[in-house]
Amino acid sequence: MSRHHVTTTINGDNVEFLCDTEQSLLDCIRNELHMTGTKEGCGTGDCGACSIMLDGRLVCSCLALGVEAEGKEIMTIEGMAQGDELHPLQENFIKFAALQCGICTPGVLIAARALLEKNPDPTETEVRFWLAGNLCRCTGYDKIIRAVMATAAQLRATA
Amino acid sequence: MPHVIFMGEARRFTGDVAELDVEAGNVMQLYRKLGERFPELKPILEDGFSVAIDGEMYEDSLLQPIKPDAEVILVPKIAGG
Amino acid sequence: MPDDVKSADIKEFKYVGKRNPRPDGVDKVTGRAKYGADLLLPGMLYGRVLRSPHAHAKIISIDASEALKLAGVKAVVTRDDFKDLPKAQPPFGPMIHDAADVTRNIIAREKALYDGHAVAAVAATSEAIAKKALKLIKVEYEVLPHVIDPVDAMKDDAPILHEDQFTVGVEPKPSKPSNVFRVMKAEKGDVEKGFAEADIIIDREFKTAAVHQGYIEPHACVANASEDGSAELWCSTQGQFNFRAVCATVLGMPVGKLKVTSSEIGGGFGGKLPVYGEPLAIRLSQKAHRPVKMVMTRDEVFRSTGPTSGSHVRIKIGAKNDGRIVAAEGVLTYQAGAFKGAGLAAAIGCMFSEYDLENIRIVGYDVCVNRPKVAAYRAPGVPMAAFGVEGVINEIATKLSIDPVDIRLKNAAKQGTVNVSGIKYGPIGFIQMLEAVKAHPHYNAPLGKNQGRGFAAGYWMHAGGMSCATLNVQDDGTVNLLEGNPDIGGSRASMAAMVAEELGIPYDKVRVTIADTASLGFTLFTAGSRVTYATGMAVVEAARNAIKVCCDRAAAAWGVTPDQVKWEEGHAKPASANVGDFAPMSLSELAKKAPMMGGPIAGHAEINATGQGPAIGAHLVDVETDPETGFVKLLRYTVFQDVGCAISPDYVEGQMQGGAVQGLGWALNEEYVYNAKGQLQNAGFLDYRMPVASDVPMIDTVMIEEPNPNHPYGVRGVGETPIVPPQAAVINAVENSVGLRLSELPMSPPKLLKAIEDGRLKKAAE
Repeated sequence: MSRHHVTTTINGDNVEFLCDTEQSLLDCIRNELHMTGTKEGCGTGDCGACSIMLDGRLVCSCLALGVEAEGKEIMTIEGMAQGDELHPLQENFIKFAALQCGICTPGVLIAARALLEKNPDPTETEVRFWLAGNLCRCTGYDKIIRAVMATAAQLRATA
Repeated sequence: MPHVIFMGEARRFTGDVAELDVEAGNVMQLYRKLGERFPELKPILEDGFSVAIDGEMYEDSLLQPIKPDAEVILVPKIAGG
Repeated sequence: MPDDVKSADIKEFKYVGKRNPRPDGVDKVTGRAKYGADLLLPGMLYGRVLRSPHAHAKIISIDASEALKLAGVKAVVTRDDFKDLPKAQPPFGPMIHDAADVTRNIIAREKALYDGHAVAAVAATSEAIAKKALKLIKVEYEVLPHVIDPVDAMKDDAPILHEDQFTVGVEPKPSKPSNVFRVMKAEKGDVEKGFAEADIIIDREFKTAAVHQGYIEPHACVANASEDGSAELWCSTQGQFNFRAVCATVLGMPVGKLKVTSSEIGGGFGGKLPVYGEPLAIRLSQKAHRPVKMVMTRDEVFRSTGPTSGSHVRIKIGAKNDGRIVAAEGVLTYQAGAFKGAGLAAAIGCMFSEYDLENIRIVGYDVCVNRPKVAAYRAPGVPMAAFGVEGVINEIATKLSIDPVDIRLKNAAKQGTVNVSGIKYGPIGFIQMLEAVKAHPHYNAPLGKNQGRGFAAGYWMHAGGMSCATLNVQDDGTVNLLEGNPDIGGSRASMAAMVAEELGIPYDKVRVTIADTASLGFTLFTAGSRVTYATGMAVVEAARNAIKVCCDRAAAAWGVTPDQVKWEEGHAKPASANVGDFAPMSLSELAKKAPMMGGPIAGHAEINATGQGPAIGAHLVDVETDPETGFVKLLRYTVFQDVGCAISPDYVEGQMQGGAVQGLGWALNEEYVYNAKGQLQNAGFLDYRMPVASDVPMIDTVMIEEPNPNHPYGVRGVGETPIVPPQAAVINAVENSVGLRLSELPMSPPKLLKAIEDGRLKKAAE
């Protein structure tokens, strides 16, 4: 069976890849495009480690198919910093020690960024429910929540 | 002479002997003497036990000196996660 | 944090104790950091494992011929590709190292012993082909009766997992094989006498479910074997040196021919101490002559790795009317899984050890059942026993109308206390901690309807062990530190802080690298809360050795003796005005001149850290229980812990918070659920429900800093203690919110609702 040719945009770059019909978008990003910043924790959409933006929507890339990326815009963790400048969420995750092992961090950052674009002034409860799809086993979430809240405040102050 | 006390798991191999004076200047000498006295204990002393010398823990320390008036207890090794 | 309690013995430092950004932070927030599954090698094959669907079955035959015919399949391995290894023989020490068990756990031999047990593995040019190949391997099983619960496994008519296993530690020596590997005992004083003196005796049984470590990164590795007999392994592990040793043994390779590199590790908590697919990947690579990547699915992680023991625990404690405990007894029945070795020694050594008790007796049963072999999980073995101990102490406090903190103050271990193992404590901060609990605003905060507050304490012994460090000073005065512990929670930051402090140079001039097994001497795994303690000691010693080189050179340059030179704020200086008037020499100057002053400047250390010590914690939690649904909402949580000296306070707090939330999952939701055939029913994150962000409140922390005299900066291991108290604390809070005594984990909504309804019925009947 021949493979599908997919043309898409990832972090602003035009890319092409070949994939099987049943191959997940996560698999394509990691193993066809060799961008390994997006992580696989479960493959069933339960842990959020593979979170990406697909045409501006937050999705678990393990639940999307590679062929679905045709003609779309993908944004991954590798596209979050602008040149030398980290995104304020990235800065604050380091500052607030919001990561320990770091495997969930790319997904959490993508999800948190999506939240702040939608809701620049979330309550703690709103942050917790938004991030409920991103499992972290190390931190107990405390410092993650603090980092997201602090970033929101910082972005509001500079907006 | 150092005084050795057997508690818990160690006691399983020393029968009725709960304590004993052993002529030994360090842990290696102590293990050799204990191994001679209690052959069942001999193969597992080094891998299975640490020693508390006067209450202070020493793990994998065959060369640790033992003072003549010391009290020594064999403490089962434990593994962490 | 204003609430933290710092002993006067803790000095102010420039980098130690400060919130420095972690050196690997940028890599980890940009997706740059490489984890187990992130290595791609040219020509790499994909390995997959065929696993037993049966809980207990004889393997009659394995036929892989059809799989090998599939285009793209390059190699298959089965039990025939691994030599049987000698079985450990009695007597057994407290630690079990049985190569025969290890080789049977990585790939089944005579029998498959649990649902998920590896039976064969294939390497193919794609994942899809590898998966297809698994379906073509024909395995003929003879299904045998199985047993899942340890109490059932101890019955006379229970199916026997190992026909050659005879219980150790019972007299007379048994003549029939048993699932009970051994009975462990510990005793101090005279419990009978103690109970005879007691005014109140509480005797209760508790049950806890098996739970998984739940790291988000599945086990992953890439093996690359050469025709010259050597091999390289890249993998997610808590200890590359330990993995090298075990893989070399299982594969019959000389240790020096195997190089293991630890990738960044996406969580371990004890679950990445054992090898699983790694030896299979190396063997596949040897057979296929190509690199082989092997990554587990989440389903495989749940079915085949971890978990910790489920348990039945009986606790009996006697006390005087004033709350003084006079006797304590425990019977622990722990699942070992398919092979012997539950965490009993640790449980026995820790369960009563934050208390100063005269009379203790503990008996533990290490029981094989048809489940995956248990792996260490954060303070392995202790939380289950502590759940019972703390529950009974809370019940005694209630019955005697004593405050739960006061009853612990009455019995608290202090300097000079001797525990059940015979260890006499140096300075420990338990009393200060209990006082800090009472003084904390959380302790007396008002509670509303259906709300309850719970309290519990916990004890762990942090480990020491072998560690190496090499520190190279570069010609511009920057420093490369090489150490051997995979960084799971920010340990690079602590190491860099200690080096910067010792050398007197800026923190960002220190670069920390985790060494592969060919680049450094043996360093014991990242486990047992040992890294900042033991490897920290090696790192400090390496720095001091480099300083000695610097001081010796300054002395030679000035024509004085080395003891006339001191190291201060990054400079060699005359030790006193009498030595002479010499301009101080900085590390940068010495580094720049090093080629002309004897060669490169380095310091290294190879140590075996002894002096493992107590690390105690206490947790306070508020909950609200919905009596209509049995749902428990967590309202407020505070963790108190004696941390010795917090080198990196951010990451010490992180350990306290993360451990607490794992304990909350254990208390309220998590459990392994098996069907009647012994197959795991909830092998995924959706059904094995770990805490998510919306389940928990902020986790406040209070660090008690009572320095550990055995470490140059006073460090105590902090990682494991925080998972010990939460189970008892949260159940105690639930009890106080609904007025019931509870004894089983997890206290999930259906179970709690049933308990509430049974309580209502009981009340109505009365």
